[in-house]
Amino acid sequence: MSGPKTLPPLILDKHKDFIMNCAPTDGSLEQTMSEHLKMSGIYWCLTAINLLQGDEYLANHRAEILDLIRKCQHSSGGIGPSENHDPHLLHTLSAIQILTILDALEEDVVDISKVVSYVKSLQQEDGSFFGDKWGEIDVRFSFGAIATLSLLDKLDEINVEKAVDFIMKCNNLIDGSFGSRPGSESHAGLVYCALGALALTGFLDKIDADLLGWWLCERQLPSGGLNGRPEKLPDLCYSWWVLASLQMIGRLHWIDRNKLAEFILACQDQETGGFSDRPGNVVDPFHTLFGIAGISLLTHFYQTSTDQSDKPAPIDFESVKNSIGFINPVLCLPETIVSKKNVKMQLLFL
Amino acid sequence: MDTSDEDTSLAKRILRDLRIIFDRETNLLEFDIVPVEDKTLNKSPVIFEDHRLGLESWSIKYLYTYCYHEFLKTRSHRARSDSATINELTRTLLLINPELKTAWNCRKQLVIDKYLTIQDELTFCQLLMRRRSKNMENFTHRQWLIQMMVKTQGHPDTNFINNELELCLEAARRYQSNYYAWTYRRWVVQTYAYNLNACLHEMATSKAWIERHISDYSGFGYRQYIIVTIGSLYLDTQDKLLAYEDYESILVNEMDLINDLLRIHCNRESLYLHRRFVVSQLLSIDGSKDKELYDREKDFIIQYLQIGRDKLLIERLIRWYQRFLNWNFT
Repeated sequence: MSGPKTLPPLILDKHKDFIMNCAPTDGSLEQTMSEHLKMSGIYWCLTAINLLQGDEYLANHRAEILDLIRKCQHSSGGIGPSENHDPHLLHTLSAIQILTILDALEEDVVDISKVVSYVKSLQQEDGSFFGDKWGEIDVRFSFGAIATLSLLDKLDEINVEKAVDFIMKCNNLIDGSFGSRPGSESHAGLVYCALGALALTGFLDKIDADLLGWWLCERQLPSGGLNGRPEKLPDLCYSWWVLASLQMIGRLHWIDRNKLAEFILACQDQETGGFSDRPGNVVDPFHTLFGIAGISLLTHFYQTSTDQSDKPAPIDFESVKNSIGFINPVLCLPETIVSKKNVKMQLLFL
Repeated sequence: MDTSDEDTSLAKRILRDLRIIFDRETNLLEFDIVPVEDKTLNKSPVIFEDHRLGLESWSIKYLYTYCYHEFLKTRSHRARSDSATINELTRTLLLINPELKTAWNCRKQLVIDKYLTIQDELTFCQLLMRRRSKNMENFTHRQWLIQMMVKTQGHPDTNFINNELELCLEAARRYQSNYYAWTYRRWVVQTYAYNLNACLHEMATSKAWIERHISDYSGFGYRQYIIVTIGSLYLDTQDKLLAYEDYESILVNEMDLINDLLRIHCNRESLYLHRRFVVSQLLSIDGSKDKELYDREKDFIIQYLQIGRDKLLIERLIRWYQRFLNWNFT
């Protein structure tokens, strides 16, 4: 291709339509093959719909969703991704996030005290968390446990100090970043989990924010997109993991916002709505949420004085302010909902 | 939605064909779904040749749907759930969709119940790994199996460990920057081969690997883990001065390796990040070498600036040194 490329516009109405209609047809192979992700899928969709102000949709589907969650809790207290699937900490978090969005935590949909004891039972001697009773360990589960208990105002049920000790063992001194377990490779998605857990427990000052912020900014590639690890292709979901991490440590403006916005716009499907991982690929609800959540961060939190180019911005951030809500960078939930909960969290400022 | 009788009997026939193969074939090398969109009348979609198993893609819809619903019935106690049925259903589901965690969990229970042997299950994992090399559930299951094995049979022998290490490399070759394969390899070393000999051997294996996979930063990350481990093993076994000396010589050799690789490969972020790591490690063992290291890095940077090599990465390196080591190159 030659000549200046024209940027596609941001098509929020189509994204809203996409996300409201993305549930696979009942009985289709697609639906059967994705049931093991259902709880998280619903959380992605509801968060995106809430950010795009689709209150009516939430009201219409509320009863059906609560009914599903009710069926997914096991006697252990843990919640599975779908009926008759085993419980897991990450789906338990998704369910609690959904109940939070739908303001249904008080409605006895699930036994909350059992959710708390389930999470508590997964903590290990070294402070880490199992993902379920089978014993896998990952810093994602530390975040899952801490985020779940924070939303339930029960953080004091676990040994927070030990949990933080384990998270800090996953910190790599060379780049300030985090891997899944002690000594594992740095990964932007796991940075998000570690920082989220540290923010919710008030221990963000344990990290080297300059070194980490630097590494996170080096995830930005010439296309403007972000990767999650060195030498990898860009992927739209890192517009969330990297940006949310930078926002937590007060360094969001270290990213070139306009270049990233160009990449995000290119990941839209102009016909069907929705976002994909990279330009030209098939769209899905996961990348659609993180595309919208990324734009929310760039819109509401970015300090405009640091925009690095004289060119006009590829997205009219001023007008987007009215159509995409604030996202909370720690919990990946709409800020209007988090602020009602009075969850304590620490953020760093530069 | 229930599948029709015709679909059900088709799925059952495919299951039977698969069962025959799994029952008699002990050395299944590969499985994959073969893109054949149209069904040939009265012909089984199961292809079996030279220890390799294939399923024509048109059949997946019938087979997966049937197995999934039967599986859910056993879970909700609406159908018989004897071990043989669960084994067959979960095996088929995982061949097609290895992310189905609940199916993996049921297989763990079959191992606990001694219906499946650990060795057979490890072989099954390996078969699935060859189709989907980047699948976290598979490596998690594998780790669980080995922990079970160790509980009953004690520490695995060198042969076993070497097989596991080779399996990681195979997964890493099949999928670039395979996070789970490298994390698993760390676990194997940390748990069953945490000694100087094994780690020095890992240095050699990893050198051959990074030379052939220069843009796979996971391989470099792993190498950094091994280097740091060797450093602490030196400290555990020798007096401090000697340990530092030995560690320094490892790092100096590493810098030579990086310089050799930089000469062959242009614009490789992996090499520059690895360079930062080696420089930081050298400084951490002997801060008094700051000036000497600075001079060496300055020479390197000037040389690369003069020949105009790796411009963006050199610029980044300069800025990183400036910011985090207080080195100025004006």
